[in-house]
Amino acid sequence: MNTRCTAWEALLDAYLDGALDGSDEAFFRSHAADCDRCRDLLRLVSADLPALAVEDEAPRLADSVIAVTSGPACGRAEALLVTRPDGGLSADEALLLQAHLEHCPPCSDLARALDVALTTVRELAEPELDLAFTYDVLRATSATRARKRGGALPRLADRLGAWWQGQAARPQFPWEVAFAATVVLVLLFGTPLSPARRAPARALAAVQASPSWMIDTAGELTGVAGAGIGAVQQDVTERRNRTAPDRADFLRHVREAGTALLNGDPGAAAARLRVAGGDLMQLWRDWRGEEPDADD
Amino acid sequence: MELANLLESCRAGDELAWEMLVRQTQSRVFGIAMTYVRDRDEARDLSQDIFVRIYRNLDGCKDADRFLPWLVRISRNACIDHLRRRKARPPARDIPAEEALRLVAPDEAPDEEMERQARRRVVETALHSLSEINREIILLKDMQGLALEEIARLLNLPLGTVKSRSSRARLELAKAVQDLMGPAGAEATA
Ligand SMILES: [Zn+2]
Ligand SMILES: [Zn+2]
Repeated sequence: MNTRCTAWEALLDAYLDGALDGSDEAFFRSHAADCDRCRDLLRLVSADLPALAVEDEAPRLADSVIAVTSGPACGRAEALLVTRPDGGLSADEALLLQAHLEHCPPCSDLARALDVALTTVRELAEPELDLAFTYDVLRATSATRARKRGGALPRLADRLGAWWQGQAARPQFPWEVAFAATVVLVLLFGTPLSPARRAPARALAAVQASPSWMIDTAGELTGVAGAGIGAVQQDVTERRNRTAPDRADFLRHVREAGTALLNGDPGAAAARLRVAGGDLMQLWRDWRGEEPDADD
Repeated sequence: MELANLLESCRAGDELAWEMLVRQTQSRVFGIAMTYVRDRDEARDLSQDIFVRIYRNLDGCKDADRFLPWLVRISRNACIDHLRRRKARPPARDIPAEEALRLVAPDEAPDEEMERQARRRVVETALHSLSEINREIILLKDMQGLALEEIARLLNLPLGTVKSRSSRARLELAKAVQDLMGPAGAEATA
């Protein structure tokens, strides 16, 4: 149904009376030939039009009766149906729509489908997520935070982190060691700037989850487990003192690398970082009271 | 905790506040990502990126009343960027996310649960059969519940256009659902 159909309908009575003139009649006939709806309408209102009859299908005629009678009402019903969820219908509109739905199976089917669609879409708005999601976000944003604080040091911490990750990925660097080292690094440097930031995620998560548990773990690592928190803390303090020179070396080399980077000398920065990496390994050995590895 | 206070604490760098904000909004963000990419793992990674963006831009949300549209805007932009990048370079399949950590559907009431899952799949499929603009309108209006004015601002479209598009999108969605369910399905689910 378009403006041509409307124009065509306006000529219908005159056509049936045989009162159409040339150009109107030409339009009337050509549109009836093109447009199923208008042709069917014409068939409905005039008994015998052999010149226009193309085919005779009873079902299509029935369809077109529906299209001519209730069709426009369905269009209106659809329009009201989709605005109804927003509560925008007047009381009268709601009443008319309801009455139509009660008598029109296609529209009431559609109304049900719309209900299902909108209810389900609301459910889909917040799908379930796995338990690790929040933690992954916090990890990603805490890395961002360190970067956001700016300066050369965080960026270096990144590179150092990459080095650390490389170390941890070596087969002879087992997860337990990474975990233990992470505990130590967190104790020594705290998390935000810690080169342990990229240490194995589970280790860091465990350490961050519970500081007191970390002290216990440190106690186990240091061999004073079960001796009480005081003993562990004392032991940790001793180890902190023992590794103070290593830490100073490490931080100095990191700072030197930072200066080199700021001076536009990435080569020198990388070299300093490698030295800092060595400091870190030394620090780890001293923390554990080990002799240097023979093969290192 | 009031949203305004929560946001204020987040901006001040309070990790606990940030954690709470993430927990409160993560499903919603994931839902948005899922309407742009259907793959769960891809949507999960995308959601992570969205939160990094949110975190970096927290200063940009001054008004707690407008937090939701702000959140949706950032999420939508990130999704569009992601799709643009993906078009340029098809994604390499990552190793599957740790399945063990997945929350699987609970065992109780399996029939009801299965029916719910089936219904969700139908609507999801119908949603993805829509044109991009109609899917976005459904996402913004019917999933996220944004006001028409917000959507008009977000999509940079006249209010009247958004209104009529919303009607058309709903009609299209309902018809797609109808096609997928068939009349019997509609009866059963109603
Ligand atoms: Zn016509
Ligand atoms: Zn109807």
